[in-house]
Amino acid sequence: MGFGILGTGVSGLAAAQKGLDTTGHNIANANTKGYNRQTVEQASTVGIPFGGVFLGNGTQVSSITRAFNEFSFSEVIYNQSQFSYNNSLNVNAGRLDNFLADTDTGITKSIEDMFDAVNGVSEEPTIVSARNVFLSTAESGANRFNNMFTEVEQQHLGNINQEVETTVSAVNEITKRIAQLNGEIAVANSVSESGFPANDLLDKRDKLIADLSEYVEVNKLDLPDGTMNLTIGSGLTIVTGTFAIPLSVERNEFDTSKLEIGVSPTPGAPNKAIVTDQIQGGSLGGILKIRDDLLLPAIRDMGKMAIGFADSFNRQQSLGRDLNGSEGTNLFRDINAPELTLSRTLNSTKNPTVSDFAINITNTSLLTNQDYSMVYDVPAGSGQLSVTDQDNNPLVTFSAADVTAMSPPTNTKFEIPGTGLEINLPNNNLTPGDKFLIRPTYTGARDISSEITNPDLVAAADNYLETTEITNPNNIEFNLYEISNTADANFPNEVNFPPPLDPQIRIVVDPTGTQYSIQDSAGTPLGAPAGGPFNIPADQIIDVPGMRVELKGTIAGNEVFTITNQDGTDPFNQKKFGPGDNTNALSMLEFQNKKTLDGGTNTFSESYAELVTFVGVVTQSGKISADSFQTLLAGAEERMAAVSGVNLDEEAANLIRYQQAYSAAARIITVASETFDTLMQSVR
Amino acid sequence: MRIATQNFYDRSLFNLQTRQTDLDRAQEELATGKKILRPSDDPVGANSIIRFKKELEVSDRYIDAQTSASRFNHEVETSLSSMNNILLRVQEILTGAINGALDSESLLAYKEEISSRMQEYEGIANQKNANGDFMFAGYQTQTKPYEKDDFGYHQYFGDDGQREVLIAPSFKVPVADPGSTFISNVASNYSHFKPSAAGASGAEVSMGFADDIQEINMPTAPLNTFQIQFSGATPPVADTWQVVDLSMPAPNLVGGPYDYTAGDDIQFQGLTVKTDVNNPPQAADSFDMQPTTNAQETSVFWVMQQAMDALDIIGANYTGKSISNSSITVNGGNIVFPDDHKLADYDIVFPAAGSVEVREVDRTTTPATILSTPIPAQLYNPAGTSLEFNGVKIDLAGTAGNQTTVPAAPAPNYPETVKLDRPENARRADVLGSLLNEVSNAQTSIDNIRSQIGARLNSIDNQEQAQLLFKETTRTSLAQIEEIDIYEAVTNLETSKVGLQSAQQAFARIQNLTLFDYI
Repeated sequence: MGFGILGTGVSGLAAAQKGLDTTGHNIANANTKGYNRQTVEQASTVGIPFGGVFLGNGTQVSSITRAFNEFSFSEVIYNQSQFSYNNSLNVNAGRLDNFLADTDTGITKSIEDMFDAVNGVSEEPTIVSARNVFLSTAESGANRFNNMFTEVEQQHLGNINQEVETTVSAVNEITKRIAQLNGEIAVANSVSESGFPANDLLDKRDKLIADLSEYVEVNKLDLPDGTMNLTIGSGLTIVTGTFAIPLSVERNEFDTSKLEIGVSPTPGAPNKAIVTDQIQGGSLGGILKIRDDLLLPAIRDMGKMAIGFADSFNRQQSLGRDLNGSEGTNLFRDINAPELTLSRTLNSTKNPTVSDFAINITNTSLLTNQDYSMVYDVPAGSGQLSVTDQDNNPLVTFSAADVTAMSPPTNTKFEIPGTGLEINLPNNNLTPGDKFLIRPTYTGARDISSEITNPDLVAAADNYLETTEITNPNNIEFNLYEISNTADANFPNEVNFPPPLDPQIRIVVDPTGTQYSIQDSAGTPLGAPAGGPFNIPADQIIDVPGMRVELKGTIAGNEVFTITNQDGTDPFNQKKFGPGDNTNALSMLEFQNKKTLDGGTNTFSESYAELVTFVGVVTQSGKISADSFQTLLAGAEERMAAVSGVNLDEEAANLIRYQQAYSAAARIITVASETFDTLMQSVR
Repeated sequence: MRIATQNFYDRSLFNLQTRQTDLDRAQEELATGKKILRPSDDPVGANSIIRFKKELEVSDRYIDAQTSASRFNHEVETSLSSMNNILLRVQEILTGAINGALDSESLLAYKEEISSRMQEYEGIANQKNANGDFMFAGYQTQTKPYEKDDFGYHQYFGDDGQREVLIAPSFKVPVADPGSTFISNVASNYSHFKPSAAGASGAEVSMGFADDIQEINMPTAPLNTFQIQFSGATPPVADTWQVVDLSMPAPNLVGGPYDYTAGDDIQFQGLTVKTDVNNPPQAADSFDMQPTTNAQETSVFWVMQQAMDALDIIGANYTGKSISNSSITVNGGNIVFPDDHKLADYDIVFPAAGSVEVREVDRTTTPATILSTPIPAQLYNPAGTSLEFNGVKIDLAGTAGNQTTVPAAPAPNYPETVKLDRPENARRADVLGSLLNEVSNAQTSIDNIRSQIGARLNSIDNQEQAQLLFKETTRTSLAQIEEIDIYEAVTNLETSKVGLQSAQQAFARIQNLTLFDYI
């Protein structure tokens, strides 16, 4: 820096030029995302002491800084990730929301059509066309369930999984770039003069962090060397200094079509830790939440309805006679078909050997949308099989002896209390520590299909069994629940109970009301094991030879009921078949108002309405939250922009300011030159 | 405050988009007329909508069922009304035919009219509805409910099933009436007897009906069974029949033994059982005749058939019939002194060889009660004896033996008895009188069903009103939840439109304000 007026002029010129450059840079980047406006800080140079006075010596650019408010930025990225999270909820739930609301895609239309058809059959049971309508509505009802399953599962397996994969790779790309930038910033900081930070690198990194916050909630930790560590969700570190720790997409140990988020504890380790639960906020948090808390439960809810629907009609069919006078057959595929019972339990991929459990659904009104977990031999050495619900509450623990009994050769079925399920183990390869997932309803909506094509097989007529009560102090209801096997050796008929016996069985409850046994009409107990005594389960649906009956009400003890076959010879011929009999069709029609699902609280339509409400609530709360976070985000962005954003008018003013400063500084040089010339002239 | 240029554009754009979304929503609501377009718009409301819509569907179903129920009941009503008209005509005929003075031609004419009325009645009872189902067969809709057996009696082949439809919650209304509730359950004083099974040879006999009201006598409890036994001197041909009351100890003979020729009617204890001339009972066949276990009932068809049979009963003489293998002959029986005559039944008994006695008896008891002895024991000449009592003259000849059974009963033996029955004219009047009574019982049965149908139609109407009202209320509630208030929606649309326009105009004016334009 030269002395005197010339030097001063030059310094002003240089400062004005830097000012013009910076303003130009600002104008050029006015629309660059993530750009923070830069300002030139000028300071006067220290004056030269000249004979006791300090003479000003010009100016210098002390720093070029970016206008940046740390707090505003944190606010923006937080709101960004919350907005993305809720928006993702809203968008993904909204698909289901739309889908369920549409009368063409919802299930209620099919259900109501089917009841219309049942009504038709009940009015005119001999008309084949009415029966055909019933069958075709049954088929379209089953198809409706199938389509819903496909549609929703498609969303789960297709869209969600794809989004999980692309999001994870995008996150990994961003964290890799951030780690790189960390390195570059550290280098730049070490070489640049103080007051001249690497503004544009910092902008780039902040922009990437803002991008990352759209995918997942981010927390940052600034380090003294200018680098930054990042954690996501509840403290999962993904960037530390110049290293990025990549996330990976893993498959669920039970259901391999379900994706989980994994991370290596050490880079490159083959066994990834599953960290899905730690992912929060952002679109990734949103889709994982939608999947686990909405889509999968919705699929299970639909499965529950489909199973309940199929079971109700199948059981009613079994309680009737078709147009040929034969016992009714399944209208829909048997909910306990062997391949279905086996498909309801999933082995963990970590189990060394595969064991096959069979889950029978015995009471569809007790079904929920829950899955259950099962673990073998915990605590070690106990040989126990423990079943817990989703929230890890124990449901039942089967002892080692029970496990043996449920395995071949006995294959005894054990009740899982309160779930409507029975379990046994046809293929026992249990190894201590084995884990299983019981998924009773998940595929229900997929597996339902109509079985009958011949309209004659619709069982509109009543069955031939007559129930009577002999002793019934509490007046409990005694209803046939299902006729499962007319070929049972003790099924009441004249072959199994030849005269002088009546074609009859008696169900005799013990004095405590906890057990029942089976007798013939002479009061002789049936031979073991058919005669009992058997325990009465909590739902009071008991097995009797070839059928199941329901005892409704509070059992007093000592009740005696009879079931008599009235399709034999006189006087046991009071319920001969007649084609005009519509009694069973009327019973089917009663399902329209019968609370068959959810523990006897909901009809089919009501259960569906509950699902719709559930989805609606999730969608609505996602929408409301997304709207409010959008407002918050806009506010935060506005505040941040107020500090950091480029205002073109301001820059225009700055341009003029620096241009004028430049002209003035140039004028100083001209003056210096003229002064020098004057001096020269005077000397000449 | 500083405004960043880029942020200004972003925010302006965002505001424009928000306004546009509002406008779109307002437009969509107005176009669909609904304020809940998706469940998320009002999850609770959406739940109610599904429930209400389901209620409406169910209600429609009830109304549909009500229409059908009403139709079915009207069909039955029409048929019942025709049946009643037929019975009225039958009643007229029977009233006319009771008159003892009619000649056999008039009776034949009456008989033919009853026959055609019966066919007409049969046509209605076997009526099919539009679906091809028999209307009065209960659940057995593919089975013709009434068909004649070999003896002209219509048997019911339907059952007691009564189809119902659901016309309101837990309210089922019957839409069919099986014939067993108004055709085959006519109250009767004398019921009917049914052979429990075919005879050993496969031959059958008809049901037994009372056709001699003065002699009707039910079998003794507890077995309640008369047994008709056929025998023959040269089996398998049956030439003799007798009837025993199985509940009684021997001697339990209540009729016969009499000679039998194929197709003869078997008459005992006031009952008549027909046999088939083409497939007559054979020797050693026996038939257990049991009264119905139900309350005393008969069928409209049987009443008509009986009436036709009764119109064949003619004759003004007392007639006597001697037992099988008896050498007694009975002739005469004319009422010679009508002034001295009163209607009664008599037994002519031969208490000892060469002796005869006439007793007036009441055959409604077992054994018959002797009311008086118009001719006490007097001398009997086997070559020919003429008796006169009660204004009746009767000629007897032949040697009396003992009352026998087949096979012969052990001693003590009873003297032979000839039953002398009152003139047939009187019997016809009795039978027709009794049948007339049954016809009016049949009308009562029909009236019962008709009043039930009336009650059903009434409840169907009431339920229809109830359902319509329910639907109306439900629709209103549904509309309140689901549908827009049209004024509000239009206002919304206008507000949104104005908002968007002004936002656009403001943006257009402000966006080109920049300092650069001035330097």
